[in-house]
Amino acid sequence: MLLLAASGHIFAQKALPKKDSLKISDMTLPTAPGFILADKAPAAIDKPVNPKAFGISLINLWQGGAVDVTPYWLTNKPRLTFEKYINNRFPVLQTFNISAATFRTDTSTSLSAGFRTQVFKLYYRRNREAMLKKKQEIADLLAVEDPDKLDTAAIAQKNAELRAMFDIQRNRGLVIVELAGAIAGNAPNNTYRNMYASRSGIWTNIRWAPDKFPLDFIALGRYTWSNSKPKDSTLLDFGVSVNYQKGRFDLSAEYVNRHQLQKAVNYDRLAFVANFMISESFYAVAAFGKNFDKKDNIMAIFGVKFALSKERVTL
Amino acid sequence: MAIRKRKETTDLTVNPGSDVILTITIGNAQIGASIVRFDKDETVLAKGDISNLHLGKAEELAGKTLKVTTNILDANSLTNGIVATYGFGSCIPAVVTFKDEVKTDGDIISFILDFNFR
Repeated sequence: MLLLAASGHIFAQKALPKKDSLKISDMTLPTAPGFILADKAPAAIDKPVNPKAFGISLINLWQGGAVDVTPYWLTNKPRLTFEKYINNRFPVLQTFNISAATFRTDTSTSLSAGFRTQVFKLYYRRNREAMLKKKQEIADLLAVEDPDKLDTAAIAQKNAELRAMFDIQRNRGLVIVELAGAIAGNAPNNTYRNMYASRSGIWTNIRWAPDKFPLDFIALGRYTWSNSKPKDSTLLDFGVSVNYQKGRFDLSAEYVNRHQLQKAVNYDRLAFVANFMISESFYAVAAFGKNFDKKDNIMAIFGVKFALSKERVTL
Repeated sequence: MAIRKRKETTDLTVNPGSDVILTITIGNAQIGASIVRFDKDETVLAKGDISNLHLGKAEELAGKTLKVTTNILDANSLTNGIVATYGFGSCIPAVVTFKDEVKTDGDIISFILDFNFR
């Protein structure tokens, strides 16, 4: 099966640095909770992500997309120093991100609302100390009375190094517990009057990236239920994924065990996913494995994705 | 990386008989550093992170101007907002806050401030 999907992330509120290069961790399909609940996300186990103050993600130009916002950052926080931010192990409010997503087919429109937040984040002490050291190096460069004499090149370099330390998808030596939930609705015949709540879910992802070890691990626990009749699809998922990321490659293997509570039936899914970044805005994805279904369950996907834009949109 | 300068002047009324203490807080998890000195005096009182800096007795400060330069880097990828709070113990107002926003990620704002003690 050939999947040709144009995926784009147009971030507003915050701009990317002009010289910023798109990383393979940026090149993932939208992970708004609504997409995950609707099984529109490519992986059954998604990685915790850095929240965006405001963002728009597209599945593609004709099928839909998601908009998300992290309300905490919409107002100033005068007392939040860098040190407090780094040392906060429970950044629930700081990372509380709400999103709305839509997915359209020929015969229906799905709408969903969701949230995700990091309820626990622990940087290994070595990482935290490295961040604080980098912060101090920047502060030393900023301690100049005449702003015209600031060494902007050195400051920009150290700022880029500091930001790389915050990339929770690439960094090692951290533990993150993310909580997410969503409710989805369907509108048959693409008619507003027919809209009804169809499915809800809540789940947690726990990512552990050991220091000085090439692999990182994500554990998943997810509970989803149907909001409309027949209410026979209450599902309990448990899973784990192992990930390896280096250079242009992002490889992962994931296993999910699904328990259908009403029927007391178990299903499982085993998938291997490989992403290869061909260029900054174009990359290939391949996925192979067995899906949940009892029949017709061979999963073989090869496709390409490209970014529509990484430029800032000013509101 | 752009640097934008913003100059401000604030009058402070000191409470006689007390010590004046300065603390500068850089909010929004951004990174900043300050240089503090009195007008007509090249001697720098303090630079970097300013916390509980003893400026002197209220009576000695009346009529003087404190010059503070605070350079703040937008290091936080989640907001372009910049906010700096200047806390003056034994002064009215006791807290002076300046808020601003950089246009582009990673820019710098320089607050070039005069505090006149009265």
